[in-house]
Amino acid sequence: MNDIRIFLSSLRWQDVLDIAINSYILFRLYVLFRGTNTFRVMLGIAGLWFFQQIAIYLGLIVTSWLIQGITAAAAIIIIVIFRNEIRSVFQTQNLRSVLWGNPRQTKETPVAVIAEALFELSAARTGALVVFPGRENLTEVIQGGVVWHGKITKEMIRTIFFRNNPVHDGAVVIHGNRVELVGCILPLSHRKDLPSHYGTRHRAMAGLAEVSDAVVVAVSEESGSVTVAKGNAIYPVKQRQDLVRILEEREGIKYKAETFFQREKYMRRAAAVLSFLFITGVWVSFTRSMDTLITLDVPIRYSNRRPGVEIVETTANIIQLQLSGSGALIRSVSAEQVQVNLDLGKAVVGKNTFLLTSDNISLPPGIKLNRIDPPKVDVVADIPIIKEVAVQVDWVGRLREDLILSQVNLLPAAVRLSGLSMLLNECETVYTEKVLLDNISESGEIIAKLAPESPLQLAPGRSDSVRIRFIVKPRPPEVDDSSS
Amino acid sequence: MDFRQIQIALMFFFALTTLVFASPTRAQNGKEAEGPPVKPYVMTSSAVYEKQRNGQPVNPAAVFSVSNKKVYCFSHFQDVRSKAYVFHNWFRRDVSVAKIKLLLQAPKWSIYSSMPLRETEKGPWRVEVTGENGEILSVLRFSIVD
Repeated sequence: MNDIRIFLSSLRWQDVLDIAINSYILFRLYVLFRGTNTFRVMLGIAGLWFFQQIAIYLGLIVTSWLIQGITAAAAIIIIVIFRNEIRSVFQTQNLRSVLWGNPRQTKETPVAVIAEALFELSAARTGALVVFPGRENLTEVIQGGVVWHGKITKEMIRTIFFRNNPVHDGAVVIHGNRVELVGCILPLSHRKDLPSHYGTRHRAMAGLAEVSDAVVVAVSEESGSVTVAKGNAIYPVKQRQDLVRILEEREGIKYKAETFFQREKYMRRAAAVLSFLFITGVWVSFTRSMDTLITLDVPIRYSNRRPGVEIVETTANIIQLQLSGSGALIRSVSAEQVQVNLDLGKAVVGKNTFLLTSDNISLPPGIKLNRIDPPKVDVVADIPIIKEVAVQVDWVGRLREDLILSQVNLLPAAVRLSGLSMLLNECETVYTEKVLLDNISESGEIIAKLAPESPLQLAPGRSDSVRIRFIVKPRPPEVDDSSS
Repeated sequence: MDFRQIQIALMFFFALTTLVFASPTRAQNGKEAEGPPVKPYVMTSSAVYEKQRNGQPVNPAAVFSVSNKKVYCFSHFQDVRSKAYVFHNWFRRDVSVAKIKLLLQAPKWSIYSSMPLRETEKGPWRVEVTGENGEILSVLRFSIVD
């Protein structure tokens, strides 16, 4: 009980939405594809996935690997083999039917009207062929046909099969209370046991009934007899009431109407609950399983840096994160999806030590942070300043031995340097470029360029040269200085 | 106590109060009385020399050959009233090389320190002459060359 409470308290609103969306999608797939071959194969794939999970749990390596392969192949098979079925499901529905409502809720077929029309055609020796499709899709077996989409009336049916009508020779396909297609060509039966007087119309009737779950009614042009075919069974119908009863049984009205709709309602509720449970199970196995570990090297992103503050040095630029989660989620995690953010809003000039916690790490949903290495980062921050420093000549070479360089005056004697405070605070002198002593024989003046140590720079607007005035004196004669 | 006695007591009280608040002792305890410490000496000059002979500096210069083996920094003072310490801080290219503590005590009014020269230490140098509290008295700049 306590575990359930902990589990529920750990749920985010995004998790609830995640489960709800996917449960609804699964439920709508059931509603749209129920009764189709696609749906049966999808059920098979779901079963395979379930068995794969059990195989993984039991540690059956080859079995789980095999089932995984079959599942992947089955997914492709569904799309390739049942593409027409899938297409017809989506083409025959509008967006509202796909997202909401019950697209299979067909209008009640006016079987009495149809039976009456067929027996009138029978009396008039007018041939007719009418198809009442079952749950199976007939797109693959019926050829040709003209879209009619007309509401069923006795007159319309008689008009369609009127001899001079261009489509009177083909079959009519009835959906609900509408004639969907006319002039359809049905597959012919190759059975040897059919009566010899059966012509093309009756062979077409038997042919479609054999390969599908449709009920097909034929009216003979020669004898006026009415024949019904369902599966492999073919039986003549003498009375109009008999035809009405047969068609009503097929439609599930009168005799089984209430039971049928009640059962339909229960089935949909059960499907909704199962969809929810299935998706919840998948979600839990994806997000709550922490069986896989991964180590990622993620660069640190510094944010909220105050204007002017610069990062001089850090003890780590890349952080190693150990993450855990379900295998499927962990495999999809890349370094780009994981971020390590360090807020420099409160950083001061000098060394700042930041302790990295989960607050600094942003992870994809379902991934857990196990370890951060290193757990803390030192960041040395600094700000640029301007400071006045003295100028000094960098003499090199050798002065003549009979001379002494007694005095040096510089103009300017000090200059302003710009650079980061910690570096510039340590700097007391800016030196000139090297000035050679070898050529000096008397007092004089030299212009030399200043050479501030990188990355320090002369403040903008300042000359980069200095005027050196020096005084050279002859070296006084040596006296005996044994004491020095 | 009659009126005259009260008058005398009040006069005595006011005189005492005035004396207490006008006392120089109180002024010295206040912050406004504090100022920079007065140094017990006055530095007159300071320079870097090639050598010293009998305690006297020889050949002040701005450039010294490393072949001299040593350079000397002399600081001269006057009015040395009491014992004090002065520091010679030697830097090579802004990096501290030595901090030499020198005792200044009358009648000794000149002090000096020296720095041995090595081939690897050629380049610009400076000596900061500072007081006991780190106050800079003088900065001397020179170069060690071939």
